Amino acid sequence: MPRCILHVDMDEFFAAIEKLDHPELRGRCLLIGGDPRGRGVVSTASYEARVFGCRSAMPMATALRLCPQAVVLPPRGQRYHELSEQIFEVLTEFTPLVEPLSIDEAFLDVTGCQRLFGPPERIARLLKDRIRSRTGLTASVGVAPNKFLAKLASDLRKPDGLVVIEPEEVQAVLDPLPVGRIWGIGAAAAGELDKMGVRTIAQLRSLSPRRLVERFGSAGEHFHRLAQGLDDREVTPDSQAKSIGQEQTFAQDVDDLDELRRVLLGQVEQVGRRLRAGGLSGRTVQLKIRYGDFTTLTRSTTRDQPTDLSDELWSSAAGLLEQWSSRSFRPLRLLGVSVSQLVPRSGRQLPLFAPPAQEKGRRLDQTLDRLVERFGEDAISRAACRRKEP
Amino acid sequence: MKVIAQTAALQEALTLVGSIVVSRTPKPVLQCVKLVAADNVLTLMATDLEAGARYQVTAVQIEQEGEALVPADRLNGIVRESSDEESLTIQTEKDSIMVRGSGSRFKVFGYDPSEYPAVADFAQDADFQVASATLSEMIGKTLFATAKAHSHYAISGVLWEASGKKLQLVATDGHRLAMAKGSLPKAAGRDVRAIVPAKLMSLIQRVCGSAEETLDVKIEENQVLVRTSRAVLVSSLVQGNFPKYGDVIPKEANRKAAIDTGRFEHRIRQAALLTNEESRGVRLSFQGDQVTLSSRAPEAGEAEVTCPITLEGEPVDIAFNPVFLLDALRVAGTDQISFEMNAGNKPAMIRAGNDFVYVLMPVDLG
Repeated sequence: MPRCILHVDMDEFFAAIEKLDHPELRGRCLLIGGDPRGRGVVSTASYEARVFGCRSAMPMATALRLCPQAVVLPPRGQRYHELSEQIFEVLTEFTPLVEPLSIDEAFLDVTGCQRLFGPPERIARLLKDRIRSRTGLTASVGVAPNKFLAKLASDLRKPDGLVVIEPEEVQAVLDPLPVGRIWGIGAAAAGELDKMGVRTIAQLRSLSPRRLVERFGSAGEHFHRLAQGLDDREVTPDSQAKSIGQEQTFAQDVDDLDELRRVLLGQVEQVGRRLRAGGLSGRTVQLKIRYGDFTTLTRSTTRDQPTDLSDELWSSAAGLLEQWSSRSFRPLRLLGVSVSQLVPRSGRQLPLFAPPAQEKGRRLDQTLDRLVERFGEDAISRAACRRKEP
Repeated sequence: MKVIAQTAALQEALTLVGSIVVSRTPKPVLQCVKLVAADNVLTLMATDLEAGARYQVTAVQIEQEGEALVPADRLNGIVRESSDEESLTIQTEKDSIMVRGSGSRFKVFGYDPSEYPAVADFAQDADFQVASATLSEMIGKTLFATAKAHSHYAISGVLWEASGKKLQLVATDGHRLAMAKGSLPKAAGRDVRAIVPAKLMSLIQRVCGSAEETLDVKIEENQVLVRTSRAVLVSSLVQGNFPKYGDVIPKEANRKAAIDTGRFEHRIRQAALLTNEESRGVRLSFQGDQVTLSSRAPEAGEAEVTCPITLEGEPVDIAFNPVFLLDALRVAGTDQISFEMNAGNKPAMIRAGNDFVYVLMPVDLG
């Protein structure tokens, strides 16, 4: 039986919430994000602002040059969080198999609940309706036999979209799309493929897997499978995940070790937060490293005791980064960190004599988690995460 | 050397002394016991270089004084399989020994006795004396709580503290802590404090079990010595810092439950049936006149049992590794215990009478 995966993606989430709470902002260009005078970046641009070329992750100053009439709003983390929770509540009413990707995006595996709710398209519609009636917000939903296709589908008809890719029409949908739609193919890889005369997914599919592997390493094999619409990754809720990780592909290969350290620390903080939110601790910390030529390697270390403390995760991750950089430093295209060998924190035997450093770290994490929950991820992080102001 | 020894007495000595001998060692002499026949006494000695024992067998007739060094398990086996003999004759022949019974004769290859490391003797005055029954009970209440795994604290042994007419033993593995108090027949000559390795503690307990008598204890810079009428036990001390245990013993508790020890123990054993590696915790909900114990093992099942209590204070939910609870209840020695708590994530305390205090950390309820 083919699987049935839903990808739910809220439309212009932060901007939509601002419009919901301040109806006078509807129809206007909105930029939610940091202060344009500093080094703030755009978290969300409303659709109206996207027309002018504004995108998330763009420096706020750049976005304002493109769209000077835009209203700039600081993010209200606590409010976004509140609505996110309501949305995830709706999602878990359909299935426990909900894998959150971010505050406003998730995969659902509804293969087993069709008897309860009807065919996938009906489930998707019910879900969209429930989100709208509970929160007043719209979501775009993709329905497909796997995660890759579901995510692709949700993006095809935004906003308020509902796209179903039936198993028999997978190839027809994929073939005309540009290769950049493939998960993991960014500007750099697309450029490489372009040099090989490959622009569409149909062309990518016709390449021999061997050529792709020669060029992109093990990622090439993955590209070839995705081009055929094949992806067997499971939908795993954080609480059942085998590992929790975070990775980033850089727009340009990064050759500055300090910058890599900063990125890694930010990732470790995020992973730590997700572990703590899911009530999990992990023993193995793994670093994922990809060079400009797509060579990918992993380095891991296993701790004596599982931990969910950012400081302890950081000491493991930083150690791995130092070990790698001291021996084989090269500019990186991708850096990521994941924690595996997860155990639930509940049921963990508490220590009678807690090392004082651990107790301090735990209090720090709790405080930071609360602040991030209220004010958003940009509100606070370890100082070493921040780029020095020039 | 030639001695005629009563078989039963010899076996008792060999069982005790032999328990020190390590089976795996690169040095063959350390797998031996040393026999010394002198002054109408046969002394058996063994050491693993940390702990050592001397045991005197007086039910012997010394025909010729001398020494021998023989593999402990061989000699032990021979003596054990000769329990039908009233006595055995042991005689050295160069580095071998001959063991003779009425219809048996064994020759065991041994080693040169002078190769054996010295086993300290206890000839000085004691720091204090303690009744074997008292010490045995105190060891039973603490020894199980010592750390089996490596720790940065020195907790692989039991902390002894003697002052005036009081002796206190404390053991912890970092998750729970057991403390037993006892009194001494006479005030200690001086205050002493030392961490005695678990191996020697169990050896002392065995010696205590065999006869009611008063033991002499001496604690030196690096070693502890214990003397009974027949045996001298010695061991180097555990070096390092014992954690400041006073800091983790709750000074007060806002919730106290009086519980029947045997009934509680039984209920915990029942609840523990539905725990497994991943979910070792048993949840205890104290409310009104009963505690409800519940457990859940993913993919196995659940258990819920209740036990009557007399509760002072607000209801509380708290979870524990059932093994930690059972360990304490088994040795509590009173019909009723007081179970004292402050909160679900704070240490709890079991008190049994005036002489036993057990502090245990809960497992996280998540």
